[in-house]
Amino acid sequence: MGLALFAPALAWSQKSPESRKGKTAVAKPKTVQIAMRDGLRFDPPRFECAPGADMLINLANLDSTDQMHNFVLVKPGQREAIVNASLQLADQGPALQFVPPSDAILVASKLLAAEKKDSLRMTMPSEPGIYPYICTFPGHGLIMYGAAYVGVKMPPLKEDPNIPPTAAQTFVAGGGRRPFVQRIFMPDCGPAAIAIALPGEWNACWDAGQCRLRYVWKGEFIDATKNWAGSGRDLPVPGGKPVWSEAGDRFPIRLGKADAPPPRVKFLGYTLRQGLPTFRYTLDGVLVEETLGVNAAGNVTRSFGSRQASVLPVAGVPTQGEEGEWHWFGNKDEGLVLTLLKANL
Amino acid sequence: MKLCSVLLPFCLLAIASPGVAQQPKPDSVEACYSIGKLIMPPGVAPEVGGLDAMPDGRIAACFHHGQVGIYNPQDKTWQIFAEGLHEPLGILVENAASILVMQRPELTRLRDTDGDGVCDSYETLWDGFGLSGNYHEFAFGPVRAPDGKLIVSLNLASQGDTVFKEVRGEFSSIGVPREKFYTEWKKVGKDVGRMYSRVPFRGWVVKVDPETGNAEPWACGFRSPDGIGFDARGNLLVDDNQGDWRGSSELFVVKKDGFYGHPASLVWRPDWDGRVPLEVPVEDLDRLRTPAAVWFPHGHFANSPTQIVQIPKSNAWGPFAGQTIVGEMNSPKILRVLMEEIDGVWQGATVNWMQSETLKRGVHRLAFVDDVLYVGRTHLSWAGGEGIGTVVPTGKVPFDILDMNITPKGFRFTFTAELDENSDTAELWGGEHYTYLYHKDYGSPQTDKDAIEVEKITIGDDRRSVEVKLGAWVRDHVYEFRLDKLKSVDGRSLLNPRIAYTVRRVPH
Repeated sequence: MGLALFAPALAWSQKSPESRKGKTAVAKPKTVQIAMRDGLRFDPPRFECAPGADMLINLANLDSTDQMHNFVLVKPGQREAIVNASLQLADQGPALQFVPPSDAILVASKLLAAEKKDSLRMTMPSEPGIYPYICTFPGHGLIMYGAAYVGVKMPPLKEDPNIPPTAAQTFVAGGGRRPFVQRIFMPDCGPAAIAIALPGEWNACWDAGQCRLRYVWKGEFIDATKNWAGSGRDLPVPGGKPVWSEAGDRFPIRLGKADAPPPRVKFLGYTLRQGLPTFRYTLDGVLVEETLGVNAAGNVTRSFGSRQASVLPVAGVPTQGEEGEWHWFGNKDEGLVLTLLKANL
Repeated sequence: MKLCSVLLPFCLLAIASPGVAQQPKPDSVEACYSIGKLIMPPGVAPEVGGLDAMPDGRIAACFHHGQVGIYNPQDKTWQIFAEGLHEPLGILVENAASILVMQRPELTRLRDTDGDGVCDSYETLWDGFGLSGNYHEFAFGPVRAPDGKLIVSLNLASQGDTVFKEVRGEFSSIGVPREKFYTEWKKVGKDVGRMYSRVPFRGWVVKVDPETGNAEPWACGFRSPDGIGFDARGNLLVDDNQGDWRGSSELFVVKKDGFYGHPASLVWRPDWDGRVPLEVPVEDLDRLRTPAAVWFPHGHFANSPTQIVQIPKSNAWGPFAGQTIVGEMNSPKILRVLMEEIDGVWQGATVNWMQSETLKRGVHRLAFVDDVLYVGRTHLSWAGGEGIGTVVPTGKVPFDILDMNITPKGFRFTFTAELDENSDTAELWGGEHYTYLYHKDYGSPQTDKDAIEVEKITIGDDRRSVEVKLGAWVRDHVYEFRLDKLKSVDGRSLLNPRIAYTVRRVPH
């Protein structure tokens, strides 16, 4: 996707086609694509090249939050000085496109509005070193920077002190603990979503707006890195495809009569016991509690209970999953317990 | 003057310190305020959404990834009280076992029901507002009103993205049908407004009953109202961020049923006539709105104001006790706001309280415990900072502007120290006045700018108050004074020499 965006717009800013033709074997420049992204990030946050390399740096502002960005390459160790100089520009900033006059600046791009691009063709410094690149738009450079490794080998990403700390982080909600409840935006759910890491490998997405389970998947819980590192626009990524998901918007249970019309729901919250949630909500004003868990056989269970009415599964709730047909099988002890099983087992 | 008793110990200190005759210098922030930091809890992303004091002097904080931690300053340890919340951006402690948190989807009461110090009951107190799924729909608060009720505020959605397929709450298709948010976003995204309100009460301040959870939409016209607070007189203050319909960042004194300028939220007024807010003539909106009490001039004052709190009425804070302060994201500072009511209209000035790299950027949440001010920082992927800082007054009172009031002919300034005897030269009292435009564009340049015409300076008998007589007034202008050259009798220059007063009314 990145390549396709850049391909039509290579700007040969310094060498004309004639000069290229005139010499016998003009090497193609080494090219790097750098995007400015949500969360004041350069993507990638670092790259390697040889000293004196002929370099083409293709820039694209892909920040969806409508922020202006630029790319300013500076001499080693000058990142903070230039960031501070850009903050001092104050009223003069806009006229200078927020690039402070300084000998420490090797090259600066145009100030790019969202979806704008620029290309810089340059000879990289002959002196090996770690050359920071910064967005000098006021405030951004404090966290929006990266590093060009010129003739210097890059350390492992997680140990690199020359990139923003957030560039090397990944966040699995709950840090891998189970069970764990995390409220966060989720794909294929209403915006008041609750993700639950159940014991074993099971995970669930429960919709607090509609008071019902939406889907269940096996594997890792959710990678929230992009959601938390950015402005919250990128959705977290569940660690697997849903095995079962509720088709349509039909409500799964009824009070008293299995063919009663869908109830009016109101979410009241949840309690935690040994980390497992019991959701509390009312259906047409009647309090219902729903507990998610995993039984001794390793299957997901949903236990429903109400002190005021008998809880029944709604007649004919369609259920389907990608690994064959999964169904909730009910048994009636205290209230209703539904267990998720493969139908053809 | 009522401040004298508070000031007295500080006056003695100030007089005792040796004066420097030439080259006036301000006191350093660090000489007046000792700035420290807390060790943060392991495994918690140290972006602070809310801070509040526990009754026993501990501090409760909520964090970007959804934890609530409680810090004990005695043994410098953290305990995690709750986890898994959705972008909590405000916290209010009810008691040691009950904490309110405003998270993105709801106002929640966190309770520890079994006494083990950890929350086991996450109770929805109020979720009767809309969620479109747009990333910019933050939720702030709660703060407690003098009547015991809770005040929260709801951010608008941003044109940076569309809405979820499934939303919570009624959807307003005014101007742009809902379907087009999915099928033609690239096209209609330009028509919805930079910041938009498509689900209920986006852009509103709402009052919630802490017992019943019943909510009363209180006032509208907000954009990104991160800071809510009450001043010492019980005024509800809400600040808002520079952007569309906000020429510069602003602070409002909010009254029930008021409209505070950003039109998107008008669609949720019960009596709204169904017009597209963006198509209402600006003059009509201008008549409908209550303008800001205080402009924070963009650049030198605040670009993104945050929480509003009162400085406790304790001797430790010297002459500033009882004043109102505001945090700011983009520069390492805390500001004061100095307000007064003229002919029933609130207006006033803003001036830095402290600006120092030691304080760091991203000052988002503020909480006082005894004589310590805790400062919680965040960035949420914009400019800002991380972690929690502490500010403790050292007892040294800086030479500062204590207060600024409007008079029929100009302004009266009050200072924390006596002025140098040559302070009555007009050149020392210069500055500019200008206004900001009310329009749908993002921000506004300083407009109709002119030098402040100072006619006469009269130093009061106490040498701490000064009447500045002006040649002429322009209403709805910011009067920004730059008092860099002013010095105290003991040779100090002002710690915070710039002050900006928003003139709405002039007293008779």
